[in-house]
Amino acid sequence: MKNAQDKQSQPLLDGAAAEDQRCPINSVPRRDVLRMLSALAGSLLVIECTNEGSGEIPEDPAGKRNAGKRWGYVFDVDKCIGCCLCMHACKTENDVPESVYRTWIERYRINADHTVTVETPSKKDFRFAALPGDVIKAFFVAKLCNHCDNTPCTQVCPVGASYQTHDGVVLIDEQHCVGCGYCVQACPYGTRFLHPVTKVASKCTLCYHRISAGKRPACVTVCPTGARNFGDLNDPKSEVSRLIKRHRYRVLKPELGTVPRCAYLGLDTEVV
Amino acid sequence: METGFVFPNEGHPHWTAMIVLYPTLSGIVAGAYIVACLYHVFGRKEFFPVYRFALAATFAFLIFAPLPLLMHLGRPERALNIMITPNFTSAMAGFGFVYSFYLMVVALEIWFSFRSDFYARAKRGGLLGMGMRLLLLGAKDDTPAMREADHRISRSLSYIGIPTDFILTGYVGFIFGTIKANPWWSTATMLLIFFTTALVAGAAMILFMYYFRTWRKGIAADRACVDGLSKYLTWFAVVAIAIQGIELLSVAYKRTADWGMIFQLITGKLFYSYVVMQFIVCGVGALALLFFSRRKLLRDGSGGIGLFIAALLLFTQSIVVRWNVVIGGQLISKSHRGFGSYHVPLLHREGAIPVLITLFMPFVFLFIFDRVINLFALDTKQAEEA
Amino acid sequence: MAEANKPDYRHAVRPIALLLLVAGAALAARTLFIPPTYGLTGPYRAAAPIEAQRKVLKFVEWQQCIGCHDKQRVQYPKDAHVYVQCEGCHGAGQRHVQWHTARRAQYKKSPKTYPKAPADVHLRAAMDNDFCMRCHAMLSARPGGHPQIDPPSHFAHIGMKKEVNGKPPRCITCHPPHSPLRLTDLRSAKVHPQPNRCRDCHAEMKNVVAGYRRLPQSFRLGAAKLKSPHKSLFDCKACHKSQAKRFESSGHKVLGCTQCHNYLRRGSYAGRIVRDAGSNHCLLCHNDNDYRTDQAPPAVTWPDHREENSESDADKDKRCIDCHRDAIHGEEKETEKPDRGKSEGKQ
Repeated sequence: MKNAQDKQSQPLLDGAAAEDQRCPINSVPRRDVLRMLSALAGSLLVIECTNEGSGEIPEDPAGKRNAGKRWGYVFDVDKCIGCCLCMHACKTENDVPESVYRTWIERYRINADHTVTVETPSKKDFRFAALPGDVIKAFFVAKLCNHCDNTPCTQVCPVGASYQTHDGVVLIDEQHCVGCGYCVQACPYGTRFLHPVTKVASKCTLCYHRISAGKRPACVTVCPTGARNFGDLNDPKSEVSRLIKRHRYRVLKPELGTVPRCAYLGLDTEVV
Repeated sequence: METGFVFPNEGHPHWTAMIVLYPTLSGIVAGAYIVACLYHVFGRKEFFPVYRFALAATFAFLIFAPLPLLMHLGRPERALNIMITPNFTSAMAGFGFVYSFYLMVVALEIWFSFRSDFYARAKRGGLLGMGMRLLLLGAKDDTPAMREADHRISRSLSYIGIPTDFILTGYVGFIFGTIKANPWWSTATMLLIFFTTALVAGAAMILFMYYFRTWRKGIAADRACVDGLSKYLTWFAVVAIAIQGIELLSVAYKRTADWGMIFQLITGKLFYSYVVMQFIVCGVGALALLFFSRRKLLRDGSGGIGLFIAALLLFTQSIVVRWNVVIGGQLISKSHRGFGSYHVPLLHREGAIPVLITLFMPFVFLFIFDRVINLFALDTKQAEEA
Repeated sequence: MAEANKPDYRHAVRPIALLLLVAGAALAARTLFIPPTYGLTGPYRAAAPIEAQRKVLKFVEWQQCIGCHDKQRVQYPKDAHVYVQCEGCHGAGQRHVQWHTARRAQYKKSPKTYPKAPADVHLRAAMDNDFCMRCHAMLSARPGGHPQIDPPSHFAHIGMKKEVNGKPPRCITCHPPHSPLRLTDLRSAKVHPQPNRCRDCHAEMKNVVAGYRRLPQSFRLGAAKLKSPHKSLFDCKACHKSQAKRFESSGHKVLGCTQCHNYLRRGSYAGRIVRDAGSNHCLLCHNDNDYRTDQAPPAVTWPDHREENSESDADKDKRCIDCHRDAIHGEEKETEKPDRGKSEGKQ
């Protein structure tokens, strides 16, 4: 390839040199030009292959404590009373603007005629109204980022702004996100959104600042019935491992192959 | 208004009118480029009158294609991150490179195709002449040998350009077709739908612009050219509409869990734009008009108005298809229990007025380009060639 | 290559070279803009997850709260609100803790002149009824074991005045949120009380509680059974007198009540006393099989037994208890109204 180019360009450059003296390239011998060009191309190739930025990674204060951890989340449908304190807590802890939600509660209601009605609480105060009419059954389900193992959202991020940490939490780099919304489309659970103020993608971080400091996520902290549970799935003694071991559970939309790490105990098949 | 249950973050679509516009523009690029290549690669001499316009249109629409994307991005100032730190597991990450590469190829092709015209314009002097001289990069002559070289290089470039063009256009379809979270998008035919409608959009745009131009200049349209263009347009449109129909039919027949939502969507919120516009008016209707006008054209050379309207309708169809895909898909809530809503605002960053302005910018560019060098082959040259 | 049309490529070098140069320069420049630490641990900024940890924690969690509020520390793990977190009701404590920790020395020196905290530091203290209703309003989607009320009927039921001195009654007047009475795990608490702990009734009798707590674990339940008033709480026939009397004549007497009336527990909340078990429950003992001895209870073949004795189609859905009620519960001696209460049941 290189040789062929070399041969072809020989008469051209000779001719050019004879005719156009102003061309600066012609003042240098032809072979040197080619050598220079190939050297340039070679070094360019080397530069291109390095896709790493410079600088040192700052020390991870939680690195030692969280090494080998694999955070998981277990929601017990039978325990949730729909008080929505978690929604308030999440908004407070993470300064989430009014129109978007990192976590929310849904009320499922299977009516007497077997139709299904789903609602979210009132936008203002996060409360559910009393249910009119006949109900076969009704229950509450919390939704949040599932922190999937096979994440569709980090897969599609074109700039590497969405990623999974070593302890399995899916996060967004707000400094680097371009706000294209591809991840919002790719998430099957509707948990991602474009932040109305920063204009970048945002979602539940499992309160990464809290869990790195050894605390529980805000929603788990305030849950009055223990419906929301958080812990290390790698630790067989943790609450989440115990719950998963003792109960039947489901994950949301398993058919999409996202492998969520948010398990639901006693979840009905109506829930999507 | 939203109907049924919609997840709280799904109030309105995140990809809106600008994301409808981008594949429209890139589709026109692909279609126009194929028409240009039909002349100078595949030797269809009847396209001589529109070849230069087609090539210029490729360039014009290509340089404006990223504009809707920039208008859409939450942080447009970080747009180059897509090339600085591309994450190659993302279908979108290669976009910057493919686009830049294609832009280079087309820019070179433009330069080699129009160099003689730049030279002729440069000789006339003036401010524009100086600009042209700058553009010529020191080429100080215009000999038949140089023109032969131009011709050969631009043809060789097309061999790179055609596959790149296919990739760039199919790209958007692939991005939509691989989003498994959305039942309305997640199908392999999405790539084909985007690609075939792109061919339709480009060919239709060139046909109606050619008619528009000849009408403005008061000259008769070249019959062979119109015949050729409308023939290809018919084929493209038949294939495009057939694929759209097959896609709908197979989803309807499979009756998966998603079909219930899709059926509600196309008989409800999307009925007008999908059933009426995409399939009836701009689809089968436009095709029938095209077919009958072509018969008239072949019989006695009339039917120009019919062809013009059919081309406009098919051009609209390509926009409507993209609207139905992009907006329609996001109307289905990920809860599969309800539908969101979308109304185009007027003055918003992604509103109707910025969209229309962006859509017309390539045409304005072409208008100016046409003033500098005649984009539609000169009648004299045409006579010479014949 | 025809001689007459021999192409002249010289002018082509410059545009191609220029474009390649621009492209090359752009590619080279690209690497300069890669942000620091990008790609060191994967396709993202390695510093980003560490930056994400640097955020103020607004919820401090209960361990921090009881550090100062030691009165609540005693009450906290004992009452029905054991799972309810301080900050769930009182709000996020970060500002509160920060403000008061900074003035701790001042408080110790002279608690009386301690300044009043500004409004944004204040945590929510007085709970109005509306706040209680966030969790305890009657909603049929709430799990069965969770205590829920419909305020008007609740106040009517316990015979309270609608208002005193122009003020409606407050939940916390009777139900102090830090030590609410826990009646039972059952939703039908008011008709089927099953006290779980002494404190449910003996909230004020500190000595009783203290004495009880000194007992070894294995004696605790036994201790509750010792005295007669306590015994009744754990004995079915103390309340279900007529049923118990009737049961004396039943062949099933040896089994006792709880053999059939299981207290089903699923999860930590939903509990049911099963009233009418299906026929399968009876068939556990009465179904005919090869392993039966002479001592075994009477055997039937099912559902042949039911079909043989059916007179109409309606009979074909009958359960054992529909025909053999007396054999199971004993014969009714006199007309009596069952005082079964509102024990809900489903098979």
